[in-house]
Amino acid sequence: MSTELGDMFKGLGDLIKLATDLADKVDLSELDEEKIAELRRASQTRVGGMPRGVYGVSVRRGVGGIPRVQPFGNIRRTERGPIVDEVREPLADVFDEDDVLLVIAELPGVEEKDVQLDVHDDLLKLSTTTKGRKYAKELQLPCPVEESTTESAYKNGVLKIRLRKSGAEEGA
Amino acid sequence: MTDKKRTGQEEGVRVDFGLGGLFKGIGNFIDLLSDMTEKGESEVSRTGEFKVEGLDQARGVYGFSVRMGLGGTPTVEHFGNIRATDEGPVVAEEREPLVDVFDEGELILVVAELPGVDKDDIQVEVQDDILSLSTTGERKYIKEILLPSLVDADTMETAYHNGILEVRLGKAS
Repeated sequence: MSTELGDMFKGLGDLIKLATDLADKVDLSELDEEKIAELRRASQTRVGGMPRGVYGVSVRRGVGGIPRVQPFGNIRRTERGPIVDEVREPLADVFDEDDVLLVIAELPGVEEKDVQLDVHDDLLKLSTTTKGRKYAKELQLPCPVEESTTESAYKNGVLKIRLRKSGAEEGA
Repeated sequence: MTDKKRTGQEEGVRVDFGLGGLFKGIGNFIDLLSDMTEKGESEVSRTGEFKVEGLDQARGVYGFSVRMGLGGTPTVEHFGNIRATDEGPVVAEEREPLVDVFDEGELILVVAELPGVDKDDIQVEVQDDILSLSTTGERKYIKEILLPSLVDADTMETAYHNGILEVRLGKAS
């Protein structure tokens, strides 16, 4: 067991504790009335029922046992501190399946017709234009893909995209 | 793109949460996570062996949501399937979904994100002020939600569409 990896996952454990502590330590006394009013207004802006900040990481075992950590959510870092954006980065995974790449993205609350895909070389851009929920994500694929062979299916909030790798011959 | 919405929408729906101790904490949290993400790839690629129990089969997800809760108190909620244990983080099969609870006057609206399940695989039970939510099938979600008031279980209405479950419950009188 590598020390660095141990540290990384110890770090994750610490983060979970930190977030738990945060949940317990909400202290409104540090906020002045104006800020509270601002937050309350913000929370009442029900954009499709989700005016809230979401931040998360997904950890999965990648090729060769290397864990891959991917962030998702709509809290972005700025110089003035974190802000909550209207557009959320979805949870997305890329699987290498020989001739094709399979991308699975979680996009709950949108309609299939509102999902836009744009494939160029080894970059997949995914976005939705629904009134309520907005998602956007740029995925760097592990290899270039054929732009004309994109197939996608959306069901129960999950989008699956199949992309044929460049140079992979039909039936090869 | 620029739908007119109710208040303070000149800057889109951008909301500045960068204030107070809580939000400073979250800023640090994001820094830490981002650092971890950036470091993760390069450091980790040197060697393959480590243990997060359960990661072989599953994907670990950990996240939190922040919102102004009922009564103007910011609430931080967790979701995901990575649990902290004394032996370090463990990836569980069941994932806690992202859930929002809205007080709509006479009723309570619960909105849960359950992508990847079929409607028939969702079980919702309510007892007093606790809503229990679980799914069977390929993806397993589980969550107990403490509601802001007692509800009348007979009034429960559920709808599932595109990965989102909505549960409406009349408040107990």
